[in-house]
Amino acid sequence: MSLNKILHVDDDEDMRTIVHIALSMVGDFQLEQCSDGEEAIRKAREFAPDLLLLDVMMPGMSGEDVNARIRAIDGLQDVKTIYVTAKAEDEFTRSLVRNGALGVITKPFDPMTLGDEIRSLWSA
Amino acid sequence: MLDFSKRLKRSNRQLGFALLGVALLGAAISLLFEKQALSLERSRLQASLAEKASFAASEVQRHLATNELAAKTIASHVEARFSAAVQRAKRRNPGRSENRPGAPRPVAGILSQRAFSRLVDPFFDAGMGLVNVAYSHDMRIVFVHPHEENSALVGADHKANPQQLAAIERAIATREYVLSGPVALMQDGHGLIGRMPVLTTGPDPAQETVLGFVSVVSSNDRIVSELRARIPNTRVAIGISPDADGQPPAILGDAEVFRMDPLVQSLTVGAQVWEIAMVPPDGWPTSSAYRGVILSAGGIVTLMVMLSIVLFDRANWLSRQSSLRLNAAIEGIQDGFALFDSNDRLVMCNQNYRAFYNRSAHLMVPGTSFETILRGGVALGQYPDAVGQEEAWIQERLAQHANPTGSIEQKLEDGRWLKIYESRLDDGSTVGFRVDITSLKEAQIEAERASKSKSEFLNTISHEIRTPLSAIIGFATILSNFEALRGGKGTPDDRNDTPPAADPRATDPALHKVKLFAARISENGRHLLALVDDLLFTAEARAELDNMPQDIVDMKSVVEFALEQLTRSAADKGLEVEVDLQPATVRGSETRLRQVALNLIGNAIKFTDHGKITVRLVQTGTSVKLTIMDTGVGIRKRDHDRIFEPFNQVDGSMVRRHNGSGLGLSISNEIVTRLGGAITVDSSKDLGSTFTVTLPSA
Repeated sequence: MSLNKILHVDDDEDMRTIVHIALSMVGDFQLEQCSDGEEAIRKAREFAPDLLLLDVMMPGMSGEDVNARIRAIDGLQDVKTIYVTAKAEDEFTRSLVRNGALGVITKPFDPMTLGDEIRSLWSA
Repeated sequence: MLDFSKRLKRSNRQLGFALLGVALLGAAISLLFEKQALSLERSRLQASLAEKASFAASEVQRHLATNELAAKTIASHVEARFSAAVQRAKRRNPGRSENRPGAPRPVAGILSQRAFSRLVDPFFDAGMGLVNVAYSHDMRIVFVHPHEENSALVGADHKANPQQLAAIERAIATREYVLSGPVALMQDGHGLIGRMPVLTTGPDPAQETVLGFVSVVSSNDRIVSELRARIPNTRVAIGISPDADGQPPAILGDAEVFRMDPLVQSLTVGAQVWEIAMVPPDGWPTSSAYRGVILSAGGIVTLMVMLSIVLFDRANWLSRQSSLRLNAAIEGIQDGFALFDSNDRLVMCNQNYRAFYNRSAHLMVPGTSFETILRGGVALGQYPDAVGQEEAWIQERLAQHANPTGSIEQKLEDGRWLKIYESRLDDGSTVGFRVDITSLKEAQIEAERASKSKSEFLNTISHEIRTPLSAIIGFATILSNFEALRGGKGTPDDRNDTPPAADPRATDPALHKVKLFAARISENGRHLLALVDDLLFTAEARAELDNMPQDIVDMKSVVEFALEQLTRSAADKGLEVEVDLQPATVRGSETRLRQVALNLIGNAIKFTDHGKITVRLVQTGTSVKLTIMDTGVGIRKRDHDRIFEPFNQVDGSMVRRHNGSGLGLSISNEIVTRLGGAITVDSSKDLGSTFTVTLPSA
């Protein structure tokens, strides 16, 4: 399955701007962005993303919560997830992968290579 | 220890009583034995004396009979001599002298002294105590044997001795042998006299006349000495009861014997009753011959019993003492100690052991099985870890107990932690120690918590630094690849990036983006700077907290300083600032108090977009109150405590929007607390916030 549609959720506006440039303009993906979990859940149904790109630390609903809620939607149970985090702990990263994430991208990342990084995690 | 010595004292008194009892019992038993031996010896003596007495009686009887026989034989001999003489006279002078009955008949010519002695002599040694035998004719002694010693008696007239007359007359009257006495003898001393009358015999019995009589005289002394010779090794006496003559009773020999509880053998001698009385030569024994042996043997046995009691008591005491000491030692152990036997039943446990188990202590009675105590404890909620999985927990614990290896930890219902060491002994019993490791465990938990807190802090710092850095690096990278941006499918349009139409340069959307991104970089850089400042400031403040100066600080000027610093930013946001400051002084560090005021007033401005900020300072009694009220976003009630923790701005996104590190309030709170005051918050979401600092006045 080829990777086309990405749903990005991050409460930080700067991050959304950077990820938009990195994926939509440089990476050539079909990108949808939300600033919180509730909005993401609403959009996911219609957008039917191939991949969720989730910030881990968000107010209200964490990245993992958003992941679980979207996977609970009919037809989206097999959606893949990549997390973006500024946390330093390796253990936390490993536990995310153990729980089914394709991978974890650590901030700060290079916007010019973000698309390639996501593709390589997708095909791995 | 008091209890200990008391027990010893009691034990000594008991021992004393026991020994005294044994001594008395020993003495009593020894004396009883001695008495028994004495009575045995006495009865043996009595038996032997009885035999002797019976022998003596028969001897007396026999010899008295011999005396009587002698008297009768001699009498009949004398009589025969007379008869022969009468016949001879008849043949010579028929019809002469027999015509005068009763006339005295001369004895001369019929019997001579020599003939009499010859007649008596054979009887003399066979008789009993004989001193002499005499023939009296016409009431005068005519012959006596032995003649030489008694020649003075010849011719003695019986009528001159009225004492003896009655007995003589009785013998003559009865014409029988009569024994009389004892009487005073014509010789010296006292004695018995047996008399046998001598009669004339003729064809006519009616004409019988008494010629004279034979006297057989026995001396008391001689009778007794002869008797003694026959029964040696005795003290003997003879009692003779009164006879028909009205003589007083007499005692021959040692009269004392009759007062010594003698063995008495009676016999009848003619009209007399004789009593032969005997006692052992030294009298009856009053103590056993073996008295010394018996008493010393009894004494030795008693002493040995006493010694063994003392030894037993000593051994018992030692064993009890060592048992007491062991118990005291086990009680003295600071840890819990329990011993279960090979059937896994409780043998003993110390008070500390019971004290650990508040709820199941009453089950810890010797004889109760480990499992019963354990199950009881689970039922009573003694073990919080067992709750919800009781049976599985019990089975696991039983398995550990049955096969103890190393140590295990156990949590109690009151929050304490025990370390349990159990081990199996050779005889199958199990010893268990319980050590209170609560403080260790708490330290461990605290250390783990501190470690977790530290790693959380590092995580948070990392997050706080990486987030603005991501923006800076991200925008910078995009800018350095500006061409890619131009060739793209367009720029994000969610920002207010419509350029002013008046500026021709701004018509280039790419240029506009450059300006926009540059602004974001600078904004994030400033945020990062603020964060670093706060971190350094916090670190510095924290380092100083322990040695904070206690100067008298004018709070009014502190607040005025902060307001002056912040007037500009409030004015920029168009906020009204109402100030009401009264003079007030507190103790502390002016620098740190300025920090608190800047932080709280700064926050109020930061989180308020419209309305006003009110700052009040009042001194009431012993305290100083600084109140900062705003009409800003407010804080939900449930977050009121969290805001004083580091990096805990309620809303993560606000960190960037409001440009704060989340460290200010926590350090302010710490400063005020260290100065003996407190910061409180009163706020609701969207209704503004009121922070109140209360400090003791100087």
